[in-house]
Amino acid sequence: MVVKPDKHRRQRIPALNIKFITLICLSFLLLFSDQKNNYLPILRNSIAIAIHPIQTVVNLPQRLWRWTGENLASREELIINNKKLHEDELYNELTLQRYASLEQENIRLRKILKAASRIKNSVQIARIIFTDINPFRHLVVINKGEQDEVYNGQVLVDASGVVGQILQTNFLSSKAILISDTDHAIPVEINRNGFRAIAQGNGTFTHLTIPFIPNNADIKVGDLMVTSGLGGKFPAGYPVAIIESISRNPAQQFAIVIAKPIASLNQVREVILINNN
Amino acid sequence: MPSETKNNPNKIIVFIATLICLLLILVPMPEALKTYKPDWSLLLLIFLAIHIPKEFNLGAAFLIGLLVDVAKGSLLGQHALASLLIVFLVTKFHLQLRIFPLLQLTAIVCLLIIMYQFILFWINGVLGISSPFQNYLGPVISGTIIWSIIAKLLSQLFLYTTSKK
Repeated sequence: MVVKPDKHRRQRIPALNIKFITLICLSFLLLFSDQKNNYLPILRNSIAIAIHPIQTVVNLPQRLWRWTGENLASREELIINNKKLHEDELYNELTLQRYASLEQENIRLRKILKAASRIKNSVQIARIIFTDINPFRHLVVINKGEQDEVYNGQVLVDASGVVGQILQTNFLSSKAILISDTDHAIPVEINRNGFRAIAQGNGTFTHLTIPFIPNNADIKVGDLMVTSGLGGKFPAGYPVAIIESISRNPAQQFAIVIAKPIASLNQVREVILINNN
Repeated sequence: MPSETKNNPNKIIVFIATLICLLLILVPMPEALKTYKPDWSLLLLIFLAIHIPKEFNLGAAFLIGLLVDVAKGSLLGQHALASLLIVFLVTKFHLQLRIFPLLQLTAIVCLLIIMYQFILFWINGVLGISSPFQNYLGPVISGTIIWSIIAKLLSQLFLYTTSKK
């Protein structure tokens, strides 16, 4: 074996019980204070900074692979890609033209109605550097932190819809919770008629649960749900999910409604951070 | 301080092993194997508590547990508490565990991982985080399978450094 048995036969660990009880008490203290009000950002931050180099190292092969892929792409591929991007850009500009005039019209109408015009949000692009950090939660780590003025509760979207929000900021990176986490709920409304609801994560990437929908509510399969902006956390009007199935049982008070998130939550690599302040 | 200098190679090995452990915890896994990610830190701590409990016992368990908590984004103290309980048990009975044959020791380690997962499950339950059963079962299976490899590897490593002196 590793150590010579004759030397260690009568070895005793000094003060094991005392140490055990102290440390157990300490960890219970940590558990309570961390759960209650995040009293320990300094402790968590300093450990997170210590871990950051390791995270970078772990991420290195993947980045190297992507870098090689990008640098060794053939000429034809690049030309095809370029052509496609040009076409996309043309199409996007076309839609944007229409959008600009619509936005002007919207502002005019809102002025007529004396309603507050919507504030334009500034954005920032971040990369997801970790996804499966904890099997019980849907958390991701992004490469922007307090250094880049990321704040708690900041909203993450991707090109198609809402992804989640920032849960915890460190200096160089931050942790975000996805809308599919079991602990997460997002206030939404149906785009067609403004019916308000809440979309809850249920621990799968492909489904959200919409609780407390009365059996007679005007809601259809295929309805788009957008953020309602009612909770104050999410800015209004970003697409969240599409209703996938509704089962109405007259014996039950509420219908069982399942929606499919629009953002591809388990494939997204780049996210957009929306500054809502 | 002759004993201090004698312990140094062990400390370096433990430091490097902890770093590798964190790397393994953070490394992304393919979708199919995601639930079968072993509790690397627990396996390392069990090994240390059996073989060099005088140098690495509860303090190491607490610190490594905290590192894992931050790395995994769980509640601060969750993994620390679970590792503490397991390492306390192992340290108490390390002399008995040392003379067990590998198969018997693996069975004990399996039970210890089950306990560890149960504590995590219990704290998650208090917090209201529900998670499918496979997420708790996966590490038990993979950890039990991988334990013998880790034990052999680490004991070879320690043996090598002690024989070199």
